[in-house]
Amino acid sequence: MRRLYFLLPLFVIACRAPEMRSYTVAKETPPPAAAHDNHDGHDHGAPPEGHPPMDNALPEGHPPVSGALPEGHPPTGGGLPEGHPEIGVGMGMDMASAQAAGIAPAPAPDRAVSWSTPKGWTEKPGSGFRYATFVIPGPDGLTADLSVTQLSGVAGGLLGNINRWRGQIGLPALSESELPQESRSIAPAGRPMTFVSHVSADPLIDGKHKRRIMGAIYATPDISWFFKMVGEDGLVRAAEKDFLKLLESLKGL
Amino acid sequence: MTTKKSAAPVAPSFWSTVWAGFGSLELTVAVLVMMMVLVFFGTIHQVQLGTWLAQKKYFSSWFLYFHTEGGFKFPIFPGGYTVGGLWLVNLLVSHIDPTRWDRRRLGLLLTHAGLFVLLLGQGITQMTAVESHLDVEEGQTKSYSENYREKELALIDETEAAQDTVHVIPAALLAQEKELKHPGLPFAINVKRFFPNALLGRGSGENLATQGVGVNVTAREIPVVTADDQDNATSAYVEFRADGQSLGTWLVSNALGAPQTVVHAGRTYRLELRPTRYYHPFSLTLKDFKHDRYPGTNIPKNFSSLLRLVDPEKGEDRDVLIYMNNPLRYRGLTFFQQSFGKDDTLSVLQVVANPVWVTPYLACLLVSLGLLWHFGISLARFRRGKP
Repeated sequence: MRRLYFLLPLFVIACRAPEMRSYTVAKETPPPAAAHDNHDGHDHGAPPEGHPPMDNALPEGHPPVSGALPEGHPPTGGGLPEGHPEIGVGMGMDMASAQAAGIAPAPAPDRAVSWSTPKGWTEKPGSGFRYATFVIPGPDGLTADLSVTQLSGVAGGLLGNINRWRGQIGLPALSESELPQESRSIAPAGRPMTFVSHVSADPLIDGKHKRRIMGAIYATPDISWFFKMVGEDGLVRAAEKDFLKLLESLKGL
Repeated sequence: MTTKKSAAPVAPSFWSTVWAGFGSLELTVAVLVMMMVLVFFGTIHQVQLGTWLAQKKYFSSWFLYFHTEGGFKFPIFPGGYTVGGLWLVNLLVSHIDPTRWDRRRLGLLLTHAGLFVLLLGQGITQMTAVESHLDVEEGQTKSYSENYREKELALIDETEAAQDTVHVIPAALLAQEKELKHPGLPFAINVKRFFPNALLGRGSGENLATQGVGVNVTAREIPVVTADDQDNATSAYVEFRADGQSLGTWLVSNALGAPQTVVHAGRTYRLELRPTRYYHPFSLTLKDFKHDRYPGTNIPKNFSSLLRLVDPEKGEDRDVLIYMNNPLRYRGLTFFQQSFGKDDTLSVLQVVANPVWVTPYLACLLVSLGLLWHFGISLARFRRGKP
């Protein structure tokens, strides 16, 4: 019996009851780079490029915000910021595995991707996963925002990303069988893409205008490209022709 | 002529039987089978639960539970801690008999000792290690890392010009939905509602907020997500009370972007529900992040972060280079190069605090020595022509 006593200290149970803590720290300084990549529909504290200043966290008519990550976001183990790896990935993972897991951005294509910017559109430089940004001006101070994003692998899949876009404008998710009716296949410059154009049911912009998302997804086994335009319904519909021209003019994908 | 009467056999005592059971081969086999069951079902269930929750449920637990509709739960299978603990006991008991220690068995003892150290170390690691991440951009200095799996409500007193005083409430404490007090705060915090995950939006519905951005935002609880590509919008309605009066109720959430402040008694407190932060007594500045490619290709060859480490307490001010399989070990922490982003200007480091990080190396050493000893004896015996 005495021989069993030594077993008692073997089990060390780390019981850490949650408690409040206090400490002092130096004033926080922001990172030196001015351009922050902002996830569409997932605000970490700064509005996306071209977005009007927000006094409240969610402007009038803003679609519900859930914990979903933005479109095409690679598996990150929990809504983690750009470049953040999948939880559980440890040291020693080789580069190929890291990219296959979507941890790192896709390697840059052999030639730089280029396009013809439609007349009247303003192009802004991209950062991180956002390859490029365009601002499309409209009447009454309204603008639409077009983001070009590239990610490794399938990056969440077609249905997942389209449903994420729909969620951003308050639309219900589609099932696999409903997807063909709510999308169409296009082939600008011979590249097969899936094209969607969805409008919100409610007026999400200033309580007066409906919001439309128009997007195209070009997926290869190695890289997925997302072209997403968001803005006032009429403005985005009017820009569809230029949007398709932009896709047609892509080189180097 | 006398005949010797043989002594009547003595029945083993209860504790001797228990002891023998703990050291038996049958228990070893049972433990290995249970471990295989955990690995199999944990792997299958990981698809649904995500890596983190599957590991927590199957391996960082004492038991697997069945939950009834009435809210009861009862254990149905031992978890990783129980199976690992039994394995440890089995290893120890089966080799602890000093009468069986001799030179010929030393190799086997060392090998099993190494296995014991490995299992024990892994168990302590699972229970006590803390993992976080440090995301730093070129030119940026940080002295903290963050754990995105756990959240905290930070009340940051920004009143002083030189520094901030931060009071943090872990989400696990918010979840208790009770009144909290702290000597450093001039008000009490009454957690009215807590949502592990919430859908925030505008529209009709219950809204407890009377101050801040939450006045125009409703929060509705939705199921918690655990998949590796999702995060929870952890939220809470918190009321601040001072001198018996309410200062208002705020909605706090990691999904809210706009800053919110509480002003009381001449002090300004910024509210942030954020990933749990671990501050360190030193800072790291990312000087340069390199993403090397094989010449003539875009195939990545290496990621490396050149950082400046400044530790005023220890008088350290030096450059350190972290790259794959070459972590920085400093002050009990290990910094691994894990990922990157933002056009090679952001480095993501995994930060691990593990008090027993040396046990796998020690275990490998013991096992290697044991095997060398055992094979050495066998070789010597073979050369002498002995069976």
